[in-house]
Amino acid sequence: MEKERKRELSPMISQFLFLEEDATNEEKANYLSLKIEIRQLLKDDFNRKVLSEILLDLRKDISGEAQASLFKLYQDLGLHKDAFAKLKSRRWQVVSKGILDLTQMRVEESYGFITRFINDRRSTIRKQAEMATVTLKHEGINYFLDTTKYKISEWQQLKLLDVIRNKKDFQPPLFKAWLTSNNKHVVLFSLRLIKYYRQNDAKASLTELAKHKNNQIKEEAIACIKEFHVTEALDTLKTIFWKCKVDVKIAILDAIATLGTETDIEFLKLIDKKEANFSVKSKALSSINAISPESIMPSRGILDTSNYKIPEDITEAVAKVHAAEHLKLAADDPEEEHLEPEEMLRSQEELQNEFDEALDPELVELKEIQVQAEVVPTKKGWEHFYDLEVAYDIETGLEPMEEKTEEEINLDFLPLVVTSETEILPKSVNDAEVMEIKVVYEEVSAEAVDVVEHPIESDEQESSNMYPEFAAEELYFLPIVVENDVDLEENRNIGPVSKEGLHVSQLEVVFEALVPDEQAHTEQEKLLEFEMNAVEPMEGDDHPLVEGEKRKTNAFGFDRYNTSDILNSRVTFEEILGRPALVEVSIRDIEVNEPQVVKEDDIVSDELPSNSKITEEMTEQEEKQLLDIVNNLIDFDDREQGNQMPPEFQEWPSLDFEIAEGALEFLPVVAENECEEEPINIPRASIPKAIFGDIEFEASTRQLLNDLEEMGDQREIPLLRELLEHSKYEPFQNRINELMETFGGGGSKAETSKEALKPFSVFQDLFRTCDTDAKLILLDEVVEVGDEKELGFLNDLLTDDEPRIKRKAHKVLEALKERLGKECSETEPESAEEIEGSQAEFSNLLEELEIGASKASDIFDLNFEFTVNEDENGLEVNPIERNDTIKNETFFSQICSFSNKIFEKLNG
Amino acid sequence: MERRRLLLAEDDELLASLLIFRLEKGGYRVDLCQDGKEMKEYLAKSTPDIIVSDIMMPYFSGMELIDYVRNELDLSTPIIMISSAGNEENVLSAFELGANDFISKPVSPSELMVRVERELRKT
Repeated sequence: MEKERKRELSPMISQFLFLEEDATNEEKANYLSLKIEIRQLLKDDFNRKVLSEILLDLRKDISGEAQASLFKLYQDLGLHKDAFAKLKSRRWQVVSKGILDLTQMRVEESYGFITRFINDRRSTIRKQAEMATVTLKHEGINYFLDTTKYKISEWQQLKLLDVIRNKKDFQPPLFKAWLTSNNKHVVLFSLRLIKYYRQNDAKASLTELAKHKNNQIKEEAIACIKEFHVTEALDTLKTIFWKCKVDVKIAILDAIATLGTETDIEFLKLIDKKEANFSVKSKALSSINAISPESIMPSRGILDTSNYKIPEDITEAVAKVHAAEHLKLAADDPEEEHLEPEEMLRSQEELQNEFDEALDPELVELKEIQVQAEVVPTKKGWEHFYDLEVAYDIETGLEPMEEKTEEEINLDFLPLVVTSETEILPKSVNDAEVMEIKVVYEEVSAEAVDVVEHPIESDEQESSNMYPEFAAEELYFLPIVVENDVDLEENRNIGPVSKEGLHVSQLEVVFEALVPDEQAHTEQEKLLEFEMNAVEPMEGDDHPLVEGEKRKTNAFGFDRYNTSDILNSRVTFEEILGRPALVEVSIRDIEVNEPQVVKEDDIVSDELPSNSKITEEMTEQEEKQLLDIVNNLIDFDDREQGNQMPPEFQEWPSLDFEIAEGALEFLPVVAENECEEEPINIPRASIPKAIFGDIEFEASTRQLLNDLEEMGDQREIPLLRELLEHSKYEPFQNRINELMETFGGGGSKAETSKEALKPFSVFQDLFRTCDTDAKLILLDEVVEVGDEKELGFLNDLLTDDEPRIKRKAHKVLEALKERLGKECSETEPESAEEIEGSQAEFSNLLEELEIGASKASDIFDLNFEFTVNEDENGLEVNPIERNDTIKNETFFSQICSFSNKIFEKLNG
Repeated sequence: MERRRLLLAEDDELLASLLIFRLEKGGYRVDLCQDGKEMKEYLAKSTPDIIVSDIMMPYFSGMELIDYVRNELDLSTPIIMISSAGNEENVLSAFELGANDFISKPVSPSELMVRVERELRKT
């Protein structure tokens, strides 16, 4: 609706806006008719609102004369009166909208009305009024700064500045007039306006404001002092410096750096000495340098180069190259003619390759890389570098190989690569660094060896001839250089056929010299042992190794087996399962695996000498021992019962046992060659005897026992007893006995059955949580719903501490006995045939369930009939209505009915 | 004398109405398209003497339309762009794509008239 009306009215607005003075008479006539039409429209508030919105929208999109016409039209149509009306509203948002409309449409006559809101307590109105005041008239900023009492936010200051800087023909006032304002925000805003409009006629005021207690004003004043170069304020700045905050101190130092002279340097040095803050000290030093450039030099992190000296060989080489260059420059001839014969043999490509190798991060230490980087300052220095590197390798490259200890290593070569004076290697080189240096050094030597075809053959021969001079013991350190995780298989394969060159050959020799000596416990063996122990997660010191040969060769240091070793061993039975029935199992057919042993064997076997006993047949004695161990492992019960089976070697029984087909089905089937990761933890391991019989019966019995265990109570004891008699299997018998003990039946002992089958009263449970009054109410219920089970409970209550309960129990007991006696007399007429019939029915039921009937259980002594109850009219009676039918209900339903009755009683 | 055909692409109805009024009053026959798709359809059918287009419009921006006119239709029709986003990047992009002129909002209708006349005189 509103949009439609806008669409209708917008052409009319356009006609009003673009009416020109030189319009034709027809246009003027149209204009007059439009004016009449629009006056009619303006009588409607909705139309006024739509027109206002159109004009306000257009104001944003048009400029120039059209915009001025728009403002004029707004007032011609009298729409500004609506905005004035909004100023009278109580709602802050309406007042703000009114001020905004008047401001946007430039209704200057509203200025006087709007300035009243400058100090309005409602911040939105106040801020809108501030903007309107500054916008509508040039002198608005003066009025605002004179009268405002409130804080001027940073954002508001920016917006006001934006307004006045975009005003046409605006002559800013001298803002120093407001530096004396009581409103510190006005002072601050004025300082910023002074700085913006660069009004530098307030030096004294600025100097005074530098002493202002407000840090913002202080900083702004200092900024103005710096901006306007107020040197008169320097003394003031020095005075206030010591009590200022860090930011202000830095601002003061910045101003001093700009305005200061040589006379201020002492002050700045004093700051450097006295000031604790790092930033301030740093700023003071930079200010000194700003006043007097380069008077303070960098002192932090500068190395002492007084002890630096260039080695003689370097000096000679440098001098040689310099001489060559000099000759080259002098003769302007190719450099080859002036170089030494060795150098002449090297081509530029070779030199470049060597330099690249020298920069290889894998071969060169980081320090060397850094130094080499500094060695390349000029293009001509490249040649120096190549020559130096080559000379060094040839002359000193093998020296560390001749040294036996780390302390004796000559580290003089370290400064060698330093041509710049800024790099110093630490004098104290720790062991790790030395070792690393060795490795790197070998790599460099190896490269030197590899360059067999290099023209410099004499030195190469010399270096290679030096290796035979080393004994194997002298190269003892070499395996230590090898990383811990080096594959031992690779070490084993290192032999004379290796293509690694001379170093590798020597490595192999050293390796063989160290490993076979078992008694000596060489470093390498210790290392291996350590690794194996690291692999072994078990806490036992002794390893549950089965084969004695392996144990010996592994040097694990255990001599005897014990039971804990066996228990932690893992037995794989797939060999047994693979046998036909009644197979006589040999000890070697049973694979006894222990995961750690397997792993270690895999490792150790690689290192075993060829004559290791592991490859030999087991002796009979050892076989017998192992057989006994496995036998002990398989039948722990026997060992425990006998309590004579020591873990060590004693008279071990033969493992020649017979296994029927399928008898081991219960055992976990382990796939062939499958290796379980976790050892079996069987603290009381026993392998039960084979179970023969009906699997379905077995399963149903097991399920029945589970159900009874979960939900049963003492009433299930007769059933359990029946099961016990019929059960042929010891596990079930044990389970049944446990259940009977749990239910209070005393197991299979017949003499405790009566005791166990003492009637259980549900009221007994309820009494535990009830107070006395509730107990009295419950006792009333006992009379109505109780039976023989409650008699014992009531008898117990006769000795209760509470006299009221005691008396009540006595009464209830008598009443219950009377009621039960009456009921018994009613059920007596039951004929013998009926009883027999019901018993036969029960027997059939048991047979269907495959459960033998209880022979001596009073729980099946029926005290009710299996007959349909009929009323006088022959209709079936709801059994719930009879008390005696409760006996047919479940235990749970009885409880439910009791609780219902209790609630009914409590509710009256 | 036949009036020059001007295509105005502007999605703001109020501003479009105002500019149409002013341009028609200045002697132009103005066709209005309120989005880029409509403008493409219009250009597929006919070719105006000059195009005055806003940059931010539905479906296709004014920049895309410059590219469409210059590279797909291969027209040399003068194009004057109008945008409230009169930043340097937009202005440069418009000129690089082939715009003849650029006017920032708020638009002065009188200024627009002068620029349109100037561009048409060039052709």
